[in-house]
Amino acid sequence: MYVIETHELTKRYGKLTAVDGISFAVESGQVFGFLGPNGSGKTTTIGMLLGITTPTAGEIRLLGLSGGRGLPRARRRIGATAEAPNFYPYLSGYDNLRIVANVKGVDPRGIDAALETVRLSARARDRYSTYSLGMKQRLALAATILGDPELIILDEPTNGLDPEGMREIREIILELAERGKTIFLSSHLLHEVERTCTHVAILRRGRIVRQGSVHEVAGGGTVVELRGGDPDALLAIVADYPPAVGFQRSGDAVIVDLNDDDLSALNAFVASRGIYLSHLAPRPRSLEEAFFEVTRAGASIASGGAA
Amino acid sequence: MRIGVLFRTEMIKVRRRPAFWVAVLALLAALALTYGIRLHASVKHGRTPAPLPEAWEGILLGTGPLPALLAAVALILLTASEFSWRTARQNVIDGLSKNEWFLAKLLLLPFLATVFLGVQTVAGAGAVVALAGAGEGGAWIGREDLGALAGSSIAFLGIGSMALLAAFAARSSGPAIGIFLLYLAIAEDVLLLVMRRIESIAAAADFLPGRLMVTLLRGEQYYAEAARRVIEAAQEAGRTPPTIHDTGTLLLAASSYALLFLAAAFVLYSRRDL
Repeated sequence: MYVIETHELTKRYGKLTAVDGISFAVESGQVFGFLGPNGSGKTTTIGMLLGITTPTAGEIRLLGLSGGRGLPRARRRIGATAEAPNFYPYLSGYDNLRIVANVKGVDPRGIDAALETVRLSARARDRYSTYSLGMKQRLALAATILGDPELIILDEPTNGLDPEGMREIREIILELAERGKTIFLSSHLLHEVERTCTHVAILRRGRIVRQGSVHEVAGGGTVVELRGGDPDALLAIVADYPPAVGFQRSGDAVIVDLNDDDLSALNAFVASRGIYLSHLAPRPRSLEEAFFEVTRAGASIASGGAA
Repeated sequence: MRIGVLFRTEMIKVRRRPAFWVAVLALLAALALTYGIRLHASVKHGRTPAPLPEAWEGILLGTGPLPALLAAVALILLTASEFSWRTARQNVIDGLSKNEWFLAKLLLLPFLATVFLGVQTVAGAGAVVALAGAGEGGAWIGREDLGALAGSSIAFLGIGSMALLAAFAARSSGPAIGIFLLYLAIAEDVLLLVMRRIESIAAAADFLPGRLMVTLLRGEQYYAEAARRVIEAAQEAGRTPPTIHDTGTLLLAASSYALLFLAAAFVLYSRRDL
């Protein structure tokens, strides 16, 4: 069952297209990482999912519901924060959660359990304005899990936190994932996403350029370093090799991004064009590498993995 | 629309908001000052303060537009700050539709009008009873007094709707209060001067929104005795007596303005993302 579905979702601000016809689906139980450089359209997309940004075109379906009446009803079954935590500074953490419980129509008796989960019970009666950034982020997480939502959407939940704060938030997210919650997470911290998420989508200039399981996106293909003969001639040969979805020169070597792992076929192909390789070294690829290749290299790689 | 949920949510916010209580305390302080001055004047001239029901005119209208302005400022603080704190967007993320969020703020308008008018009325009546007693015989409240109460309510709602428009236009408390007060204190006076110099529109100057709302908070609109006093005072001073417009016409115009301001606020709100 899909809990989030978008079809050709688009947002334009005058002449600027912030989100350009993106379509993706998140299945129940997935921890879905939504990645992209600053200005790629992540927050705008999340804003449209959450109803705070009006789409220019396209469709959104949340928990099977859509339209002007369906989406607000669905959002009451979703826990979400967008960018920084947003609470009333003059109210206590507890009273802020009372407002959330009231709006969501959930039992306020669940507030204590939510505060306990994010380890904030001791400061629950203090004013929100006296909280540290880490405590504010934890209160935002408490608000998102209030009422046991089916889907949790988190936009940069570790923004501005120190390593200890990041670890705490990551542990809470993993705990929620273990409980079977569907989590949609936007983050800049790729190693965090790689450790937390099951699936990812990478956004670039308002378009999804790659999506799939973390394994598929990060290591589904193979990165190979080649040396032999003239690097420019080698680069031209590699460009004709069908499984090569990305390629670039790196000094006297050529780095090739393959969508398979058949290195003997690559070796034979290069040899058939008259160059005998002196060096052929495959290496595993991290999500971070995949991210930078996709977001920096542009079309040659994007076209291969786009979904 | 879940009106009960919206009202309960707003009440959690209002009850704990220091700005709301400061505005209420400011009103109580202004009332204490007003009644203190009146008592002092009565004692000085050897008069007994008027008891109820004669005192209703002073209770309902004696403090002029101040209570309505305080209610309007409280409304701006309770609305505009939600944009700067980004709690408006969080409320929508948590499950209110955008229209429900607007309605929640709309509910504050009659609520604050009731609270501030109520404080003014109850505190004023209490002070009068304490100083002059409850009066003897006759109706406890007259027809003219009920008219003044209804007119004051419309004026509170009208001034509040102007404040709500400023809050939705500026989306920040300071600028919204600035726009609201600058319009009432300066912009409308400039407009008034210009309109009075142009013969074809001079008569419409009395129907500028701020001036109209303040006129509805004057005794001569409801009390024949007060109207007579105003005319006599003008004649004694050798001035042309002011035009006293039909109160029903003023109430209709004020209600129309209120609806227009609220519609404009909704359009401004709907066309922008949170």
